[in-house]
Amino acid sequence: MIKFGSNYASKIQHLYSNKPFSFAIIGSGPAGLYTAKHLFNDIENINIHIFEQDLCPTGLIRYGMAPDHQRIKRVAEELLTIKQNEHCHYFGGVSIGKDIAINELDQLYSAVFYAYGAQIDKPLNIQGEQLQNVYSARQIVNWYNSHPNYYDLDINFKNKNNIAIIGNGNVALDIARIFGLNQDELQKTDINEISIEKLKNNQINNIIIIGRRGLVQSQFSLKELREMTKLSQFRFLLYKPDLLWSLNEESQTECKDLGVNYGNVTRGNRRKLEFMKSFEIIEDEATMNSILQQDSNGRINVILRFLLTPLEIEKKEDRLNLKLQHNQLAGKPFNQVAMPLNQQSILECDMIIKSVGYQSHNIDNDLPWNSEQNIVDNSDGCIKKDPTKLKTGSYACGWIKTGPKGVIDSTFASSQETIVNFKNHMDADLIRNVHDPYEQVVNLLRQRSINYIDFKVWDRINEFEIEQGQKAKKPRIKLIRNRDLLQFL
Amino acid sequence: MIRLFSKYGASSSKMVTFYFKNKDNSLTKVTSPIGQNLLQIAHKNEVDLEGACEQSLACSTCHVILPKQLYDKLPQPVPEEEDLLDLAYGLTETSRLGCQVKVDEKFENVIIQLPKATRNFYVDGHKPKPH
Repeated sequence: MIKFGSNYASKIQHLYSNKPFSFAIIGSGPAGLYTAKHLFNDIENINIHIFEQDLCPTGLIRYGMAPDHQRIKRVAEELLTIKQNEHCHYFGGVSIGKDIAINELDQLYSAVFYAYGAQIDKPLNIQGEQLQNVYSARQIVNWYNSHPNYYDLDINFKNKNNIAIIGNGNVALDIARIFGLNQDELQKTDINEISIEKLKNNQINNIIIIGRRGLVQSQFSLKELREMTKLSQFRFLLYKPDLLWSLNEESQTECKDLGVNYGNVTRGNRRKLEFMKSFEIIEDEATMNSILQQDSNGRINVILRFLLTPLEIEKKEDRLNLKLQHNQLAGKPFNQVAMPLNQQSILECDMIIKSVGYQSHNIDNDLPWNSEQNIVDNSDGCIKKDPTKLKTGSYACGWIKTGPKGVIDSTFASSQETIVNFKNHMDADLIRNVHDPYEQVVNLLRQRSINYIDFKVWDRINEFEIEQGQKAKKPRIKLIRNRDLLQFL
Repeated sequence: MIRLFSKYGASSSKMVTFYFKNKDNSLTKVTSPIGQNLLQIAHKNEVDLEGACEQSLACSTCHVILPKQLYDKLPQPVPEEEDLLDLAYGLTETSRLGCQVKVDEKFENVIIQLPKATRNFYVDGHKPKPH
């Protein structure tokens, strides 16, 4: 069937097409907004209410993506075009599970979409995790992204020469890069003045990024790596023993061109390995120690370490000793695990950042939970009532559905899948009609004395931030305190 | 003299006509002046191709699949595009980012495919039994 320039998804014509549906979406990050946008595109006569725990919408777009990654942050504008729809309402500053129970949402709406992502840290569960100068990546990222709960993080860079980052995903690279940007570079971003001041004149010599498995299994993408190598202040280094241990036969297989069944996994590995072969190599322990103890002369050494598991953190005067277990790889290609060797070492450093992943928590006892994977219990986005039955009317999109991994593309794809399955439920008449519960929700929040912001207030905040930014030649200047944001009510 | 008016306002630029194959396998016929990129053309014709980073090589959401013959005739992608293709869902050997591919005469009558977003897409209209 050939169409001429028309929307591919013809809107669902219901038997009851003059009866309305009302949907609640929990979370206003990429998953929630994408879901809202596509539900409006695909289904007629619906109301969508978006609940967000923070005052400001867009989730990780505002508080996760790095301040110097403004291009990808533009996705927020496209996703927020939903606010032009008079049947779309935003409630910013409302915590579902605390302010409104999910049972209440089930009563008020035809369907509820959980898209609230991951709000806590995956713990390392090692001694010393709570010591001063040990942070989670999430704290650091929220700090430099001006989140109201983190902008005043107790952090300083005085005499912090060596910083260890445990975990080698893109977040680890983001943090290393932001720490290493010079003041001019930082001033061009939307990072706040407090962070800029703290980072000023820092004397970071080495940032050691530590991965549990080998080089080929590293989680950062070549895109982010390549971008960072273009910044002249960074000098990337590999450690020869790590390289040798990393390139076992199975890891080499993970880089081979194995045809279409392995998709783009080997292609990504292969290209990343090829690129990293151009990095300088630290030959031995003596050279490594010398680098870690010397001044780096204005540059920052980004030392990528592999096959190390953190065992314990000890305070040593005003420094930290990170005790590390050495590993080797074992298992079949694409399923290799880190096996401990009978070898340990100690990395002396001044700050440790745990970047081993975010984690979701259950916001309400009535929300079916998969405690093994720490996600909502679901089957392809359809939330399960129990192992054999679906809780029709409840759906999951984004990280709360799949776990906290992946960039915006996979978030969109996961939401797409959920929407398709949801539409199948609508076609099977499993979703009940509900008239717009807007007045009821507003009254409920008023009774519970919950101050929230809506899209109109957000528009004023957004306009103000951009205006302030323009004066200072920045993309925006974020308001950082909740009370400053609430002033716009 | 016949003037060709297009949506783009140009009165006599060379045009090319081709098709997008949508996720539901339907085809959308489009006509565009030469020089526009595939993402721009998709958006102008309401084809459902995402462009999260607005053509700035910061995401892979405008991933499209070209016919091999066409793919081979185009200039190689830059390394930065290849880096993003590494991350694209359902990558094939003839995949490109739509925002990086400008159309010309070689595109006449070709079919540009939008990748299936998920494994569970019921393209044959199959509906799972309600649980």
